[in-house]
Order: sequence, then C-alpha cells, then structure tokens
Amino acid sequence: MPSQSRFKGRLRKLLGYFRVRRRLWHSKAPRVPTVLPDSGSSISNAAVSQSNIGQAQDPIDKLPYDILAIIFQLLSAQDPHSDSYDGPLPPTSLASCSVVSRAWRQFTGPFLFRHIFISPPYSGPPNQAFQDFLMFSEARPDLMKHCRCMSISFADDFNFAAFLSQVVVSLTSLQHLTLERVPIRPLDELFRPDVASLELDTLELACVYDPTTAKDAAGGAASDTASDVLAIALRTLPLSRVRCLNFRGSDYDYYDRLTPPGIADGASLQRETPLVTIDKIVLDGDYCTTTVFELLEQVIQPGSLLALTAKCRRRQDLVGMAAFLRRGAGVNLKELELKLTTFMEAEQRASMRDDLYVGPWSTFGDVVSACPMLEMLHIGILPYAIDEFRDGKAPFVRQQYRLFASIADTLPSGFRTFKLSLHNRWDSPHICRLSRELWDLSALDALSDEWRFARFERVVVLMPEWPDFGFLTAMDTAEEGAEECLPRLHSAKKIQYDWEEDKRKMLQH
Amino acid sequence: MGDSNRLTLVASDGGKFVVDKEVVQMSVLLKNMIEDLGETDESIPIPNVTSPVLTKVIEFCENHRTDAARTDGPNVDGDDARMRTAVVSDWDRQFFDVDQDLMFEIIVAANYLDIKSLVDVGCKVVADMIKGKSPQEIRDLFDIVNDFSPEEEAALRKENEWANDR
Repeated sequence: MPSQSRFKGRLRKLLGYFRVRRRLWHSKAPRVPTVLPDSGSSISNAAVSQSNIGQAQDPIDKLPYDILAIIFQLLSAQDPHSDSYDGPLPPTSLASCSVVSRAWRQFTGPFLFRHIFISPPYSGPPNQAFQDFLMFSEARPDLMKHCRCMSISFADDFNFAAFLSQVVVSLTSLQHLTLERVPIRPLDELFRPDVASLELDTLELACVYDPTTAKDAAGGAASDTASDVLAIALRTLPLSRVRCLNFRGSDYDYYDRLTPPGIADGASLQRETPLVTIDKIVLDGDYCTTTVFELLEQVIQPGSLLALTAKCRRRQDLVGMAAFLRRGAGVNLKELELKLTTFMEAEQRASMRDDLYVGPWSTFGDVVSACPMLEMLHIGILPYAIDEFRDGKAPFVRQQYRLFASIADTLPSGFRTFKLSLHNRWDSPHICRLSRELWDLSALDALSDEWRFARFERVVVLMPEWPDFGFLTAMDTAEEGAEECLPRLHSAKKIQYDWEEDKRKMLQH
Repeated sequence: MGDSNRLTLVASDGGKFVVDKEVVQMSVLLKNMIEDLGETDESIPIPNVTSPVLTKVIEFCENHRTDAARTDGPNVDGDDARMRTAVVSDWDRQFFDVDQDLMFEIIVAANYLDIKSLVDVGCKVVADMIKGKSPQEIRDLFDIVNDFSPEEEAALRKENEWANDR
C-alpha cells in the first residue's frame, strides 16, 4: 500500500509538471505588435506597415498592444472626477505622440480623443467652433466613438438644441458631460430616445442659465438664481439615465455674494416619476441652499442616494441639508463630503453675523446622525480670508470647536473612513498657533489612538495644494508644520499631501 | 536533495538561475505554476526569456521582494489609478538605465511572467521618456522616420485641437 500511494504522488507531480510546461509554452508569449483594427485613420494604412520596417527601436514595433496601451494611458488625461472641475489636463505629450508617425497616430487616436472640448475661441465668430466640430464629428466617427468626456461651453446665440442632437448620436462611449454657460432649455434634446441612448455617469451643469426669463441672459448664471435654474433642470430634463448630477457654480464663487432664494422657493416640481437612477449629487457654491435641498427632496427617490458632496457657505444651509437627509435622503447614504467655507471678501464679512457661519459643530452631528449607513466622511474647511490668516489674525474664532469628538459620538457602526482636508496657509509662520486655536488639533491628533476611532480603517488628513505649493521650500515648511501640529498622525503616516507626486518629480529633476 | 525554498529557472538559451521561491512568486504566472506543482526539484523552463533579460528580471524581483508586505500607500482604485500612482524610485530608474532593446525586452518579459510592479515601473519609465517631448524629439529618441507630409501633419495638428482644453 505505501508503494501505491508513493506512485500516485509521483504521477500527480508528473501530471502537474506537464500541465505547467504546457501553460508556460502557451501562456501569453510576447506578442507580435498589434495594430488597432478599427482605428479608421483617414491616412492610408499601407504606409503604416512601410514605416515600421527597419525601425528596430520603435516601441510600436517592440511592445505588445496591452503594454503600449498602458504607456499611452499614462500619457493621456485622466477622466474628471464627478465632484470636481479640475477636469482633464491638456494632453500635450499624447498630442505630440499622435503626429510622430502613421503607426503612432493609429495607436494614440483613441486615447487622445477620449476628452473633447468645444468652446469658441476668444476672438473670431463665436459659432464657428460649433460648426467646425459638427463637420469634424461627421468626418471622423471612428474618433468620436472613443470620446468618454466632453466639455461644451459658451454656446450662446445659436441653435444649441440642434447642435446637441446632431453631436450626441456619434458619442457612443460618452460617460462624463460638462456643460458650462449654456442655455438650460434645450438640454432635454440630449436625452430624447430618438436622438441618443446616452447613459451618463456624470452630468455636470456649470453656470447654466435660462435665456427665456425676462432677466438679462448676457451675464449667464449671474442673472438667474441657482435654485431657478436647478428647478428647471429637475423639472424638465429626462434624467432617468444619469447616475451623478453635478451642479457647479462659478469657479470664483468663493468671491461671489450668495444669491437670494429664487422663484422656485416653495414651488412644486410636479414631476411624474422620481429620478431613480441618480445615486450621487454634487452641489457647489450657490447651489447648496436649503431651497435646493427642498427641491431635490421632491424628485429623488427616498433611499436611492448613495453619495452627496456639497459646498456649504452658511450655517442655515447645513441645517437644511441635515433636514433633507433626516427626512429620508440619508437613509442609505454611504459617502458624504462637506466643503465648508466662510471665506469672503472684507465687505461681505462685515455684514455677516457670527451665527451665520458654518458651525457650531453640533450641526455636523445632526447631518451625520441622519445617515445610519455612512461609511466615509470627508470634511474640507477653508475658514479664513487668506490675507488675514497669513498676517496671523483669526478674527472669527469665538469659541473652541470640539469638531472631531462631537462627530465621533454620532457615527454609525459601519463607518470606515474619515478624511479631513485642511485648506490652509501651511507656509504661514502662524500656522501652528492658529490651527491649534481653530481646529483643536490636539483632539484631531488624538484620532490616531483614541478608542472611539480604533475601529476606523482609515483616518486621513489631506493637506491640499492651497495656495502656494509650487516650491520645494514651501512644501517642506508645510510638512514640518503638519508634523509639529499633528505629531501622532504624522508618525502613524496618516497625513497625505496633494503635492507628493509633484515634489517627487521636482526632486528627480 | 535540493533546498525547498529555492527553484531553478531555465532561460530560453539554456542559462540556469537558482532563485528564492519568494522572489519567483512575484510572477503571478510562476506562482500559480508552483502551486500546481507542489514540492519539486524540477527546474522551470522560461522559454520566451533570454538569460540577459532573466538576469535583469530576477534582479528587479530580488530588490522589490518586500514590496508586497507594504500596506501603507495612496488610495488606489482600479488598474488606472494603480499605474498612475506607481512609484518609480531612483533604484528603478537606475535599473532601467540600459539600452532601449533590453529595456523593451524586460517589459515584454515582465508582461509575459505577469509581474505587475515591473510592468508598471517599465511603462512609467517609457512614458516619462516621452513626456514633454515634441514630435521630432520623440522621433529622435526612438529613431523613427516621419512618414507624414508637412500638409498631413498640419491637418492632424488641427484635428488635435479638439482634444485640447482651449
């Protein structure tokens, strides 16, 4: 019997060996470079093969397609995040690659045209760009089908509805659509079943406006209130195939006055069916108001919302958000990002009372306790006028806020990740004193070992790029400041800096 | 009786390399194979990789053998984020400071052996070589002939404007 089991063992090993050998010989051996089969270049393919002959070091000849795809992916712009307008960077390196040779053009085209921007130039006829793009899209459907992110801006004074209906039919891969300073009314063309079957991951509406109102449309969104436009969007747009709605205000809304509530205040949206597909909403600047939350409540299916990002500028809006979440929108919410700012120009601050600023932090507790399924909370704070902060003044601090302790008591058991973005002058000589006074950094630092936070998988303190991070000395000063203010989090490597990649590159060069 | 913690790899030209099993297992292909084989004294053939390339691959794996144990790092979701956040250390750059033929062969071998970290670093090094260069500089870098006429190149540049945030 022992000899029989030994024989079976050897047989098993032998069979395993042959199986392994077969896998080695037949696994993905280095491949002959592949030319994209459907790149559809307008330039003759015959020349492609000719150009490859004798070019031994051309990566196109030497590397398999999936490796080339990684390289060109690294050179291409990233898809925009649904909650930010940083957007894709100009893909200059990829554009250079695309005119190196015919073979390179074939490979890079699909990566290059993943992001398309249509905007009239500063000079010249404003509508010419849109007409030119229509011609281009009709001539190059092979490139249009690779477009995942499109940004259209400043489409004034021409037939925008017709333009949209012609363009979107060719964008079969579109996932992110940003419309900036365009009229709101024609947007329903986008979702007409006979025009296109778009299923958007993100629809970003930035400073859209309603030219049919009696107000002057020339100034764009500034002449309409945010809630007016948002009400039109929610009432009229067939958004049943949109996952994330992103309402973005002006890029400069830090400086803008808050607009008063609009005509939609208290009005019924009378939508026949709730928007069941939308599971993420981003409200920027002026869009984050109690009025807007009341509008959203009328169209969002209770329990469908999984993520909410909002930039709150007033305490009353944070209270409005808490009420919105408590009445049902927060029941399944998993991710909540709050960008808080009371940053205003001096004349605006002068007219504000202390109780209008965000906080006290018990309001956070109201927001968080309305979300029993919350897994991730990200809070970003920009509390001061930058100049005054730099000068060492903290004019609006009237009490010590126990932010972190008060929130921790209300977090649900499934909570996993807490992120805090400290927007600050980390190169200010007063950083530590002011930060300690404002944010009670001792309490924050205790996150690293306090028992209440032990169950969290991640506590991350993010130091964003604001405002001067372009120089190594500023980065170093900021990191030293963070280490001094948050020694335990620093030791536990819980602090991340947005400039880490930039710094690494600068050091390498 | 061989050391059970070491394995012999045989390159396509017959060169033999005795390597720690822990190092070999950075290759997903070889790791799966070892799991199938169980305990064995047999050498493992690597039929598509030559000795000079296998030498470099083993050198990389030996240098990065502890990487898998690292848990701290940036939050990455998916392959794209992983590639973009892959850190290329000074050692890695020195490692890839070889002639282009060998560099490409190392990347192809890493792809074949399914060593993700080596693929990521190799691709990033090539991408960094290209980054910021003009079309002519890229042609010079890789010895590529420009097969466009000036008119064709101008037309393509015009097309590319739609892909730039103006």
